Amino acid sequence: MALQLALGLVHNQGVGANRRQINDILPLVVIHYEPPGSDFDTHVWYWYSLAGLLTDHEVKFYQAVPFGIAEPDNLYLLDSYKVLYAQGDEDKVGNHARFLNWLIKRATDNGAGTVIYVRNSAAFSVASLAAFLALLVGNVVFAEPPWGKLATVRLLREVGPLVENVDLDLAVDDLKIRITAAGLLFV
Amino acid sequence: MWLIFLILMARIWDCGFELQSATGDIEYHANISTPVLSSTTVRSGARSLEIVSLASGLANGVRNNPFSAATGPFFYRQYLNIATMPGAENRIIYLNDSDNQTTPMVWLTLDNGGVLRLYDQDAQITGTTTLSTGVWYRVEIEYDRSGVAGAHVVRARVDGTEFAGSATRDISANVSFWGLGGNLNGEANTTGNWFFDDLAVNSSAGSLENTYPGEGEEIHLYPNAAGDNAQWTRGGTNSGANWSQVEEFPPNDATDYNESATLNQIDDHNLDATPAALASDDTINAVMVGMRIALSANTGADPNAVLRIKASASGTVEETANLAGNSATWGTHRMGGGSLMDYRLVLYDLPGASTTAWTKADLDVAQIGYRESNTDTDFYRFSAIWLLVDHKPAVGGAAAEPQSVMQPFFAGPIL
Repeated sequence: MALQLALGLVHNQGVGANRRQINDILPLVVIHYEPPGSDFDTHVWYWYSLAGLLTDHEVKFYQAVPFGIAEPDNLYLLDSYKVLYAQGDEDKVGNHARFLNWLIKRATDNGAGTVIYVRNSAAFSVASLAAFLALLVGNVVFAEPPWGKLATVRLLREVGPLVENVDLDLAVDDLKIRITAAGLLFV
Repeated sequence: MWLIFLILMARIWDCGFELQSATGDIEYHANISTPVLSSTTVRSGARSLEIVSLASGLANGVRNNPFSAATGPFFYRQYLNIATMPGAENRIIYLNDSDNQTTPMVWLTLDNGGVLRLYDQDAQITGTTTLSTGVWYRVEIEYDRSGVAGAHVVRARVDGTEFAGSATRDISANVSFWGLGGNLNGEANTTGNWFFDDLAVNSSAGSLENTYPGEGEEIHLYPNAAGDNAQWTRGGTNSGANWSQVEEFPPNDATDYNESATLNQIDDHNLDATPAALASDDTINAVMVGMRIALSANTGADPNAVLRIKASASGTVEETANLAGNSATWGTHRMGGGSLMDYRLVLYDLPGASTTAWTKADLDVAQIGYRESNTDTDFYRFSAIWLLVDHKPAVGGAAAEPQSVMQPFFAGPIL
């Protein structure tokens, strides 16, 4: 069974950086066209993978735009599921833990087994991703590479979401305690 | 060579026959003979599928194609209400790899005494249960071919209680099609009258709706007023507003629709008020945006669109990834009239949330819509859009399943 991946960005980094993180990911996107008459559609359809990731996989992309943040002008160049926080979610700004919660929940709702949060796209590489994906075996359900976070669907099922009354970093600290308490592991 | 596969959502497809069309490739994939819809014996919403006037040797019913050629695990729900038993044992439900009812891999039969039996391609699976007339039963099936041969799983339950099951089966092919009806094995039966409603199928993905669907009632909410955006151009007969081009059921395809060839144009539509049958304390199992779409022509690169949903005017909005434009033939959820009809936008919690469930109050101010996300000279067209709501009445509510049905889930008294 191929690995079902989701890769997410949160546009909480300022206008230029938000734009840049999309541009950092776009060269990694490989589109695969399937001919008409293949199993899944009557006509041409397509799916995505990450360039250079040799593991058999498919990837879908997710982008979150916090409240009050202008959409990056290249937002739509990355074919992705999106959330644009608006009226009623005025507190969804900065490093709110909701963004990672939304990413993990919605990506796993849509079938992802592993969720990749790229927090520092300049430091992100497929080689590093591959190395950390390889660590997500056995009871390891969460990983913290230098460029972001990796979470499995098992994390959500057995540990639950991050708390949201503190910012992301503190919520992750709390999550690690709960991972350990659940008899699971993080790296 | 990589395996080509389709990532499956947790809840993949629902059908309560609420588009009110007995034509194939509208709400479900195809008819087997000439099934009819009932407006009198319905479990929820306004219609159910009725199997009646069976002809000897002639299968009658519908075929569904929520996904293609997958191992599972999959969990199927159908509610069954029997008015008149068949004259003898009769195949009424099946799972198959091919788009027909011959040589299925798993099936259920109902006999003249109301006995329900589960079979796979090799034999009957031990265990039966007996159904009565005039009662809506929740019949669920598990299909799991993800293990090795000899470790495949086939199980069936009625109202949450398994009556037959095995984890040592050897199923020959992956499942694609799901049929419901009567005389599905060509039986020489001419008596019987039964109804199906509130179909649902889950995969094992995700953290919710990843096992049996359980109890649920299905309704559709249709556009009834302008929402936050109305930028697409009305095509066909001009009803005077964008929302009223796409609110009809059954969908009328080219008769009236909205179209766009302009990047980032958006339509958002307000929805019907939820019916009284959906109570304020109901659990919303899933909300699913359905659509009827086509291109003006499929020349060149072809445009794409995305679906949108928000829980209040000017509120947080979620969008799907691109929904490929690839045909000038109208289709439900995918263009071109193909058999695959999986829903493309399914939420279990509010837009932008991860744990906050939908409520009746949210649904009453929700908006659904679409945005042109890639362009060429062809127009992307929407002829209909709706929000399917799968909801579960609170325990003890007027529409809840009978209390006796719920008892297996509770170790102690129900307070």
